[in-house]
Amino acid sequence: MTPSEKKIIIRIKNLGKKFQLKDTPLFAIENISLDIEENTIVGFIGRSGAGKSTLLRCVNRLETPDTGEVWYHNLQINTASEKDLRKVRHEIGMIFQHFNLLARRTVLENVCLPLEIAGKKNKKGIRAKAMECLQLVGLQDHIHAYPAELSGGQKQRVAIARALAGEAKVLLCDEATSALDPETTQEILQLLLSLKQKLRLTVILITHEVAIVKEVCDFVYVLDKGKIIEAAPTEIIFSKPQHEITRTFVDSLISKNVPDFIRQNMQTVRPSPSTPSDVIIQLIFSGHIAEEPIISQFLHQSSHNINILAGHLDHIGKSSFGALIVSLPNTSAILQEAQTFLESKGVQIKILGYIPK
Amino acid sequence: MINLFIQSIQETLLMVFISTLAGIFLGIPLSVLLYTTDRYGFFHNPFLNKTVGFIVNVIRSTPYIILIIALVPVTRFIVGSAIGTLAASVSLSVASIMLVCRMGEEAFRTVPTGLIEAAQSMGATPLQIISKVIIPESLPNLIAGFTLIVINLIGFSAMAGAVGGGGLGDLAIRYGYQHYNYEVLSYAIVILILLVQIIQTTGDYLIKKLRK
Repeated sequence: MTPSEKKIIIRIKNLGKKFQLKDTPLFAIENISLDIEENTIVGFIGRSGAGKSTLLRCVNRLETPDTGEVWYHNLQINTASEKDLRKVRHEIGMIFQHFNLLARRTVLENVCLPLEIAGKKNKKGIRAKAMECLQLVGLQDHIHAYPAELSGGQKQRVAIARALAGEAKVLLCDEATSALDPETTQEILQLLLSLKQKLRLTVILITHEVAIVKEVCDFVYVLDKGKIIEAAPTEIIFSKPQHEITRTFVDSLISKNVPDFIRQNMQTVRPSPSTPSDVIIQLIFSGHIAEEPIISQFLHQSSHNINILAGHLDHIGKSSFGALIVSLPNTSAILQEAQTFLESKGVQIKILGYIPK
Repeated sequence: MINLFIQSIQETLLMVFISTLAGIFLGIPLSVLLYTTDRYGFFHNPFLNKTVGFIVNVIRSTPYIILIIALVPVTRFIVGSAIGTLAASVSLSVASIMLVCRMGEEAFRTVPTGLIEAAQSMGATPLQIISKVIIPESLPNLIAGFTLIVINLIGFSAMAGAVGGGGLGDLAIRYGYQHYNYEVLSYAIVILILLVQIIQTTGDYLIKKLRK
């Protein structure tokens, strides 16, 4: 699809909301403007208190903004009548960190709830539709169970089925995987991806976990202190983080890959050139570059040994994103040569530390 | 004597039945009102909330025996007389409504706000949230509260004998206390204990069935 064909489904303009603390107003979000395209997964990442939850809740007006506008197609949500708002809420489903299932309704009855709320009277029709949604999330075998009998992942699946039952076009995810273990998180993320495909769903998720954004998002907004500090397609955010906070997020993902034995021996101060040492460098590849044989090109060109210590290659959407940790002899000449060559190839270089021999 | 017992049991049951119904049909709506006009409720209305809350507290802090006397004019207006089982049911109903009112509010508060938000995000109206989420989800707590209240009402109904309300309490006082007939007194007590046991057991059973 070319960019011109993409349709904006949610448009936010100059959005602001403040909470009155004891004496000073706290700006939860300030002057936020953005467009969200149909059938994309958009992630908002930020530390706690960054305002991401407020922003998400302004989309379906669980929170009313003080200033600015929120549009869903041609309806201005923040000024819509209660009746219009309820109608549009049928099209914007929401899931939560703690699932928020009704304890006294079975799985099937929980999924029936939004349909009952929408005023559907035909009980058989409601059940059939609910069953359809449960099949979509793979829970058709547990329809008569109560939420207390389900695992966290299953509960979130029920919540997703429930959010989608009213023919939702948009799914808002409020830290939806934060209460789940890594494996279950993966399952839920895969489910979101498949729903995006099958239902042409638009997903807006907020999280403080960078791994989640990397896994599923097409586009990422980084929030800090109520403002958007960086916004870019996911592969750009990960390969060329601009802001300090974004870098911290991205690094938290990569530094996991530095092997312990290197981390333990590594020092951050450069040893004097007279003592032989190795320099540990992280090479960050992004987008199409990852397909080029850069390392072997460097080896051909240079006479020095490059030692690959650790590596990790990931795919974000269709482009690959990778980081290699290598060691080189710590001399100015070699370092200079490596830097010039690698940077000409668009590989980012980051010196992690030095290991004395 | 047997007939006297049967009549007394019927009177007690009638008083408790009427006041329980009053509790359900007037007390629960009142607790919905208190809950929804509260600070975080969706019909936030401090004036209404404070006013109703104050009235409920005043009546609740009045000892029941005093309430019976204070309500004599109201009773006369409603049933035409201040004496008899129906008359006693009036003050008993008022007491019941007040008890249910606070109990209901507390039970509703146990429903996690997340559930209410989830329902809101589905486009539920406040009435739908009350009828489909808040009341069903707090049902076990409501039943537990009702069990206690009905048992309380049986105790109160004994006091209602004071205004000629009849019932088992009245029987025990007149025959047992005033006529030194300890046999009647003992039987009355045994029947009251049985009644309370039946209600408690039924309540516990329902709660167990309702909790998931």
